[in-house]
Amino acid sequence: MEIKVEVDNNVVILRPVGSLVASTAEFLKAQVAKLVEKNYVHVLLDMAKLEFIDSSGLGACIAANKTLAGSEGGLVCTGASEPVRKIFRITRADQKIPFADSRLDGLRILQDKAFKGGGKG
Amino acid sequence: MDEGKCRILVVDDDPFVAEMLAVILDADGYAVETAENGLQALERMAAAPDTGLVVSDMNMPGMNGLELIARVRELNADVPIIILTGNNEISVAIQALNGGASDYLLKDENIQETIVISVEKVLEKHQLRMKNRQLMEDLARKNRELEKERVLAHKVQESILPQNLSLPGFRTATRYRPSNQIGGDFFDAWESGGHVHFLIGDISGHSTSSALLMAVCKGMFHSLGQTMHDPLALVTAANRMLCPMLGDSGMFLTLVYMTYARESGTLRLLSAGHNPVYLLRGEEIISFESTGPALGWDADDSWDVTEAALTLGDLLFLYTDGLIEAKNDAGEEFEGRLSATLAALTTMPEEMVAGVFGALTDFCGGRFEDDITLFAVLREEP
Repeated sequence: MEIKVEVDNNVVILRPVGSLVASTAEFLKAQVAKLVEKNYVHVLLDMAKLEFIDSSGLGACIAANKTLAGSEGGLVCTGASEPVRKIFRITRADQKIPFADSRLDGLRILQDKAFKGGGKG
Repeated sequence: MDEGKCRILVVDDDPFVAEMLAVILDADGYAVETAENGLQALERMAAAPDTGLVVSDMNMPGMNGLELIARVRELNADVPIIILTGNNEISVAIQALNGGASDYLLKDENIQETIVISVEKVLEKHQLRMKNRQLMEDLARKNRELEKERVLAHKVQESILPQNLSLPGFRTATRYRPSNQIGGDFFDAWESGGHVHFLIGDISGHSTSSALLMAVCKGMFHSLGQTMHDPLALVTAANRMLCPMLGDSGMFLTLVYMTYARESGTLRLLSAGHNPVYLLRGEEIISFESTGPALGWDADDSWDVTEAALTLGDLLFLYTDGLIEAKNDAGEEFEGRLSATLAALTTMPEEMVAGVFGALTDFCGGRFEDDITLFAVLREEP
């Protein structure tokens, strides 16, 4: 898995490509930890190119969200395929991490949050 | 001999060449011995088993370079050999290298320079090969030890899970198959204070840490279930203990916890982010969906509890996601076939579990990428 990174104003967009599983989950957590160090705490996880996620990958998303929330930021997901959405829905992880209908909506949610305080912005 | 430099045996029927090479290599810090023919070379090798390199002429009377390579290999399979020849035909070089030589050198006017370079290169390559072999051997040994540990851990884990569940008024059957030797699935059932407790859990991942957490959870729920009979209070207490334990590891578990009150005949079911539970009642299949989030995420989380009257002949079918996420060659998941598979089977727990596992094995060709646990519970006459 590789993670493409873009910055839109104060929001970082992470685009994982491939599978988010046990062997790659730590990579996502490490990427998010690095962003928090640089005071980027609002992250949009664009899952359009994410082919598969397992329980370890889901755990990494939850851990990343906790890390960001601990710095008054947060994680928003978008673009997930139905199989990816399903694991969030069954485990109710979608109650912890919001899903935006589009990338634009996701950016708006995070930018509003950033405007109200927390991290760069 | 310089420290770190090896013993070299130079073999040539021309004493002048042998002596010249000995002088050059000696000046470079090696301990050098010479031999005039193959037989003498073998004697020297036998007398000095620490010989680190052989430099031999190809064309010698009696035993040629190729024959010498074969005989040297009988004494020391690993020692590198450089073959020298006055013949610059490529076929001779190929013959020497195919015969087991490490390098091939032409005895020309440059031999004084090329021999030193070749010896260094061959020895360096040889050392790397030896080091590599040692590393591979170490790795193989560690893998064997690890595998032994995993087999042992598998046995321990199997002994943690209940072998025979004896609960008056219930008939049960289980099937547990970790994807590796050890897994993160668990199940349990027991009776306490007029309540029968049933649970199935699935720890995220399939690593050693999943197996450790599985053992902790199995003990924790069994312990809490001796005095608490309300699934919500019990799971809430367990979650509060788990959250600080798991911290920011990202690990979590999904769980179904059910209690059956003997007096009222009511089943109370809590599903923490787990796959649907099926209740088979005659021709009807009722599914109970997840009633709240997985455990280990937030100590303040809460769950709904589903209630249902359990009547004689009702069969509950619980499982972990390894069942429904198993894929066939076309990449389809077993999930789409589960209801039809259940409907086609009798409601005897043993047949249900064996039938589902058989259908799954046929479906995915026996390739199980996740832990799989099946747990069937039939309400029957006490």
